[in-house]
Amino acid sequence: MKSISQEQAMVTDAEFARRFREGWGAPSLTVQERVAFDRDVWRRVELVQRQRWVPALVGVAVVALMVVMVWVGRLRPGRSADWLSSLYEAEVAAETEVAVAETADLAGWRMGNLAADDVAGDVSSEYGLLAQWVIVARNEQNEGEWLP
Amino acid sequence: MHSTALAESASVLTLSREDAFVELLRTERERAIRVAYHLVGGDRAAAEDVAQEAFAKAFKSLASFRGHAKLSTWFLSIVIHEAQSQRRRQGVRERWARWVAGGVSPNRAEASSAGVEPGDPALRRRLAAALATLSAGQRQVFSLVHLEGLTVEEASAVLGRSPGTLKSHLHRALVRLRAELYDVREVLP
Repeated sequence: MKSISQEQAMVTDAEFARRFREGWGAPSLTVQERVAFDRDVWRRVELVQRQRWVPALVGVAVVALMVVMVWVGRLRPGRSADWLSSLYEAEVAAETEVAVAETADLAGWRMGNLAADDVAGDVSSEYGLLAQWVIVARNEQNEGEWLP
Repeated sequence: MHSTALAESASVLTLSREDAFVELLRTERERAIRVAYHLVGGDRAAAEDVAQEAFAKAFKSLASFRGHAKLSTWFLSIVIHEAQSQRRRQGVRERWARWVAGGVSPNRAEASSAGVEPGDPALRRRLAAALATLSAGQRQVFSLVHLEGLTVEEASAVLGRSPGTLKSHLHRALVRLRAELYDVREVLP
């Protein structure tokens, strides 16, 4: 960078900025230019307004496409039902397994704590029912039945 | 928030979106073009393009404006953001053009200011070239404070940076410009 001479340094920042501003100039609009500018702005605003509907339209189109796909699938007996029900069954099976495991853990933990606290003889009906439900759930799962 | 900012925001919030926008267009049109003109390197057509795009974006966002800042401050930040995007796009276009032309760089300053503005085109080209050597942050704060007359605090609200950072940018910008323009008599006799 070039060094600043003593004379240049004597010009204050404000004075330097003023001279810069004057030399630089700035566009000023005539009345006609102002009208044309405003017209272009409103044109862009209209464009922006129209573009607001684009995401909504895309969303509607996607939903319509999905509805059509399902509808077309239903027209072919056995086909759509197969993949839909297999998906559903797999999901239910996974959820059931997790639910049984969690319930068994909870019941075991609570009953274990109660026993440790030497209140095993005073197990409330709530915990008793819970334990029974877990046993029923396990049996049903073993027999290949779904939990309600 | 300053009391005038509150008054301005409150008055804007009571208007319909269209009325508020008409008011914004009327009061901020000239300044938007001026600020864009500083930031895009003295290209008037590009400056008007930036200002128009900023107004269109402001219209879109005006419904969500909740008066957290002065409307003019909020709008100025949109203009600055748009000018920055425009410079980025311009840079990509120039690199692309250079690549297509086999390494020949288009003379942007020459093309942008030819016969469009009053005054001395040669001087403006020198000033534009000097401004172009500043970083984006330095250029923005120099433009707002020294060319638009905002205080450092107002510029801080527009740019979303601390006053201390802006003062530092401003100091470096002035040092850089003085050095770049050391031989320009109109600026530094």
